[in-house]
Amino acid sequence: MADDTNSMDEDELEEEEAIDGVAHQKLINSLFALDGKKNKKQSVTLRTSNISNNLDMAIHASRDTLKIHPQDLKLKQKHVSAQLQKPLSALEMEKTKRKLARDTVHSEMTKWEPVVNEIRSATQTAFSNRPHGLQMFQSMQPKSFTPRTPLEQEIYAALGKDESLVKQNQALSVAETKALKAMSVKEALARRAELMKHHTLLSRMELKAKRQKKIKSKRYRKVLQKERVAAEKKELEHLRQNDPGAFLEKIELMEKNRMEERLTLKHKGGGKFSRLHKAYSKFDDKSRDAIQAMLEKSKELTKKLESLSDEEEEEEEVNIVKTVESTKTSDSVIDDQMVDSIIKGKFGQLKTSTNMWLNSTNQFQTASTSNSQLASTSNSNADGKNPDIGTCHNVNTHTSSIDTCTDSLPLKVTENLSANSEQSLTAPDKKSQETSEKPKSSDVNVVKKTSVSKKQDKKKKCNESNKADISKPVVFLESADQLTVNGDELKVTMEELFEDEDVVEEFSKEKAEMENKNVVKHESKLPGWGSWAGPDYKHIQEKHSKKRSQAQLKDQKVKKPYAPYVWINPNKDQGIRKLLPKSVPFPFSSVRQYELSVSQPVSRGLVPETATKLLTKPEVVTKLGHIIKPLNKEEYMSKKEDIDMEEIKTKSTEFRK
Amino acid sequence: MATVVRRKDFSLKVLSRNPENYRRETKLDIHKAPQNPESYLHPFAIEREYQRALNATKLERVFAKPFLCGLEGHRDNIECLAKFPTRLSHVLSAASDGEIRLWDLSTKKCISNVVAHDGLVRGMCAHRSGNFFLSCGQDANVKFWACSEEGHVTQEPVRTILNKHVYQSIDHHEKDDTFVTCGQSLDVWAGDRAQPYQSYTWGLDSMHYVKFNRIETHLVAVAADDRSIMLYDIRGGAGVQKLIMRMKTNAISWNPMQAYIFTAACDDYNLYTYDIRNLTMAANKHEDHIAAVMDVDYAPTGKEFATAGYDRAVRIFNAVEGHSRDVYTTKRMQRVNHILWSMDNKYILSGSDEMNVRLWKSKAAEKLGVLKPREKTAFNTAETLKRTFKDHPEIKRISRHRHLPKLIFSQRKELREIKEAQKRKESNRRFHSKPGAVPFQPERKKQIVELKD
Repeated sequence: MADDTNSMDEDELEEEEAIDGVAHQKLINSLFALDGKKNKKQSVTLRTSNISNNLDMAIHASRDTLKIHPQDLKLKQKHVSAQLQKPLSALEMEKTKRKLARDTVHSEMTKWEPVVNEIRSATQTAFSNRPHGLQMFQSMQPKSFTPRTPLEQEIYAALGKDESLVKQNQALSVAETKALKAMSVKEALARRAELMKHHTLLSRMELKAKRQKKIKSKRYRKVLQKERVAAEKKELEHLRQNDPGAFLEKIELMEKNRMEERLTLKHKGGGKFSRLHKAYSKFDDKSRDAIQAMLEKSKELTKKLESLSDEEEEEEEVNIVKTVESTKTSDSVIDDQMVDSIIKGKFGQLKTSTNMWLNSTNQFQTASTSNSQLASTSNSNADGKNPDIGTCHNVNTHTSSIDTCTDSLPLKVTENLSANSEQSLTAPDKKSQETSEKPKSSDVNVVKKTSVSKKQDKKKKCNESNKADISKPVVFLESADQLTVNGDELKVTMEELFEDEDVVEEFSKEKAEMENKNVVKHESKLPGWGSWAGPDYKHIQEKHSKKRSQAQLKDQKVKKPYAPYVWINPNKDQGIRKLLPKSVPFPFSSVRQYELSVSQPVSRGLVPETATKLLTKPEVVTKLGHIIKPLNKEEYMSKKEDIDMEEIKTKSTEFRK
Repeated sequence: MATVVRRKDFSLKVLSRNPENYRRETKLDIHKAPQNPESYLHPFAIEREYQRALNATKLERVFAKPFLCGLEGHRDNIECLAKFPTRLSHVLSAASDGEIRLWDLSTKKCISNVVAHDGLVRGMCAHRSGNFFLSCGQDANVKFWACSEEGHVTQEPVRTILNKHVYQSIDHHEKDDTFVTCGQSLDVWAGDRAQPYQSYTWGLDSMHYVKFNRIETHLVAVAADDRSIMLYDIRGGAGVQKLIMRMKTNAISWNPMQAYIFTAACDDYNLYTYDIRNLTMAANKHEDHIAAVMDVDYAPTGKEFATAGYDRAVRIFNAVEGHSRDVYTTKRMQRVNHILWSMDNKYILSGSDEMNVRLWKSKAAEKLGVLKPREKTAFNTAETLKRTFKDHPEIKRISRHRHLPKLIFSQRKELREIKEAQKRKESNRRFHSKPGAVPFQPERKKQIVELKD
């Protein structure tokens, strides 16, 4: 506090001194004026010297007054130049101002550099300052609407006076209030009661209908039906007598319905339609006949089938199990089947096919095909045998069981054939029989395999794939066998193979031909003089083409000759070369870099959906009907200034510590 | 009798899929097709993409129909165009007979017109609030006009300032209630004062174009008749810098996103982009016009700008590229004097000598209106593909192809030859003189005569 009072005193002192200084200056000036000479230099004496003196004094005052050091006294300025420098000329003044302005502008603009760099390097810029998320507003009443444009005024004139319009601060419109007033309480109550009654009646009826709909009693339904049919009959009779046109129409309609019925193959007598028809058949002979036919057909179709097929199926299942266990039993099964079929006299086709199979060499490829033939023939046989079998499942299992066993067929079948049909075998047949004995051991393996696969397939119950499964491994095995056999025989040198052809010479001839084709001919003839070539002759173009051709020639010379047995077609990539860039485009420094930039696919389907979205982000995103405003300085700069201030604060706190 | 084989562990396996994977939500949806993006499954991915890019480029050229409409109604040359900072659909145009018209772009009609000045209307700009606009004319008056939200302009000006000299250009401050006019001097006006509160001169020549910086709002660029561009800071008492070029600058536009960048449309057929911190050299030189460039306006995104040429063409440049990306011409369009880029980055307006204001799309092949999400993704993909394959010769050829008027086509060819000749001459001179006697001078520096501090 003491210090404060001291400083106050000093201020006052200073002021006094300053005033004195001014007075002193005035005095001096007046003295000069008396002298008649002007102070040419127009020098302005410094007041600062005095002030500095005062400052010294002030400093001393603030200190302990008793201690005045000699060095303090020395501080007094002894030779202060009492004149200011000449003020700058207007031009120079302006220059300095400009320099100042330039420096400030430069420093201010440099602050923008990070922002600008960010904008320039951004892969995507979205221009929208439309607010996101929630915005809070104070609740306020909207101003009353006043129509301004002529259209608005017109609309207001037409609609604004409408009574049904709800006005502000009013719960009900004028029309509503009017209506409320118009109806008295009594009337309203009566009306309400009436409405209620009507409603209950309606609901009762509804309930009744629902209940009736749910009745399951046959008798009830029969009675209803009878009633309906009776009514219909009556109506028909009535129509026949009174309105023959309508009657005919009705009959026609019935005919149409009948036809539809026929199409759907619902040939039963118990349907609603047929029952109706029975009723109508009294009057129509045609329909009577039709009904008769229909009944017959239905009988024919719905005749009960014999139970033979069922037994067969069971038998076969057993057979299949047996084949898994041993081939012998399966053979016997086949025999049984064959015998059966032959007894039935429908084995002709099968026999021929087996003959064919026997005639062929012991290749399993053909065997498998004959298998399929067999399958098809047996299929047809089965179809012919009992057409009553409805499901094809039975048939298929039948054929498949044959399939599995055909591998061991050749011997047994032929035996059977010779035994049953008393048909003597021809010599080649016997031969083939002998050859067929050779791979018997492998056959057994195959059968085992197939039976295993059969087991798996049974689960699937998919016969079509079953066949394929069986035939495949067989083919594989046999072909492998063949390879091992033929491998030794195929050891022939290339020279031996092309002994009688001079391939090398042929090639060199061809090569020379191709090379000659690609050689660019050097045009050695001189351009003509005068106007031989006509007025449109372009000398310059020719010049260019000549240059080009020369360059090509050079290229050809530069290229290394290949080995004599190699010919690389130089024109192979000509087509694609036209479509590729000739040089590496600007921002890239190497071909590799550029290729990498192109190699990333972006389309949908070639990369995941999210990747497409990310890779195809547009550079600039704008919103429709949205004003893009220039950058706002406050948004960018105020933040930074805040940061600066914070930095200063932190620094100062550090300083204090 | 046959024995019945009982299958104990019988199981029936049925293909079952989640219907969500294959069923579409509505019948209007496209069918869902499972796709596998593994790269080994698409060995021809790049080739397919190339083909797609090629098709997209072709389609772009097919759909490139930039001209939307001509706004007809003026009875004399268009003298200036102006846009509002707060309205998208309204645009002002003024003619040599002193008439100002306000157009509605959505209906393409003139909403109101007013005879503003005796003689030419020299300059025009909108007030920052968007409810007024200012005009200065040959009659040495500056007038304030009020216009309603619907675009009706009052027939009498709100305020008129009478002056001694004709002002050639006018521009309003972005944030404050301040505007500048230029003519004999650059005057800064504020509030309701009848006199400018600040007046700058630098040399004796009059100034013909003035523009406020949109970000550092106290900076003003002025083009003067002594082939100079001057920078002023309206906070200080003097100019900042003066750049004298070989030819006159007709118009200046500041980049609205980069505070220190502006582009000047020059009489030497080129545009120069400058960084105001270093005016000794242009940051970029944009050439393609074959006559003086009369006007330039930046897109609000700051990435592109449109130019009006005395060669009867409107050109669009990428701000960082030296050559134009597109050129718009029509048979009947005469010398284009003024250009505007709309505030939503979608449209360009040009005012030309034959009394018409024309409305163009800023992207020639762009589909206007609301896009469905699927359309959007398709366009984006096509755009990306075009970008990746842009250097392939076939695509480059197609995307660059424009059908130009004969005049422009032949003139460009001639100009190219001239430039080549000049270059050749320079290099020859350099070759035949003492090393260092003919120093290499970059193209971006050649136009500069002097930089005055």
